Amino acid sequence: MKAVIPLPDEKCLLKQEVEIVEDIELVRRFKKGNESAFTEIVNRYNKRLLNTAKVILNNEDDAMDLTQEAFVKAYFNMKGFREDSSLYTWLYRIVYNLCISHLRRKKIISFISFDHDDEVMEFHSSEPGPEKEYERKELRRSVIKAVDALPFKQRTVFTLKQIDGLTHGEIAEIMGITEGAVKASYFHAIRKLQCMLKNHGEQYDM
Amino acid sequence: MICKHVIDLMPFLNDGSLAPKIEKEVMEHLAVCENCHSEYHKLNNMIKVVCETIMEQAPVPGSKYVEMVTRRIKKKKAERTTALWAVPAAAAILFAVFLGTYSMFLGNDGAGLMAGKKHTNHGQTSIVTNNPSSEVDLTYHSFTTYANVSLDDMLNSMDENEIEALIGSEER
Repeated sequence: MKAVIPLPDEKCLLKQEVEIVEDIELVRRFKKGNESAFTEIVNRYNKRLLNTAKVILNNEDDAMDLTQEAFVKAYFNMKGFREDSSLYTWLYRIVYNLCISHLRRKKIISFISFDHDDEVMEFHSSEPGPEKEYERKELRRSVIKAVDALPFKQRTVFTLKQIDGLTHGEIAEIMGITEGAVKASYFHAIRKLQCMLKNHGEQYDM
Repeated sequence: MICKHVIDLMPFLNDGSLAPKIEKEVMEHLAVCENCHSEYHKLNNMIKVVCETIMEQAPVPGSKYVEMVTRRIKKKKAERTTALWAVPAAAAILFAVFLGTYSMFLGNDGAGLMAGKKHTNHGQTSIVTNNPSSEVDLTYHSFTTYANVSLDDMLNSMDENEIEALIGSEER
């Protein structure tokens, strides 16, 4: 039997390299006074930052507010941005720090409640039957519940790694922790998700 | 490599965090161990489903997002511009208030300070007073500071009793 190991997506890596070059170019243009370069940066990263902030905060309105604030901070502090680091890591760090401050202010960093039970979203599939549909909704609810139940750091590390595709080094830089701590958080996140979702193991080949 | 170690290392396969030698051993194990291969398959599927669910919930920035950011930047710029002139202006106002209060506190002495200098330049004896007609003020201030009234002028404007009182207080 041969294990199926997913290979790194070369096109994706190539795209990322090109993106970094363009980021630096945009920063240079902005520093020279080209305001539209900053608009391009906002357009490029708002969706990703918004999603990350939403997962961290578990609140879409707060995520919207804080990411906008992050871009304002980036605008006024772009002169301090060193070109030897990547723009997106820098932006993520601003968002992460704002989220941390926000959660500390609200004193809800230790636990964020789950309140999406009333929302209904579909898994994209080919016309599932009512039973299958019910199972999928249940699975989805369980997944959200499991992600929300993860400790704050583990949830953030999981999202930055799996959704945003950042490396352990980049995550460590953003969160201000060591790479070892990032790996430990990721490992525990995986173990907890497996534990909380084990009842759904049979669904969708889980 | 035993199954437990392989299962512990599975989350880090293909992300560059394992040493090449270790990664090779894990992959070789997965190729021959059905149980571990199944676990790896389940793990990848779980991660896939979790990511899909998170992405399904991902908020959409909306068409006005950039506009909102631009508006906030403009507002902050205006605040910063205000701060640029507000700080010196506030400092100037405070200084003016301080000067006013100081002048009121000193009364005529404030003006006397400058006049006194002028008077000293002329080498004349000077004496201070808030109210020339007041004996108390006259004697109290006479040794404390410069004045805007020359002694001769003042003596000319005083009656005999006041002069006696002044001389008496100086002697005491």
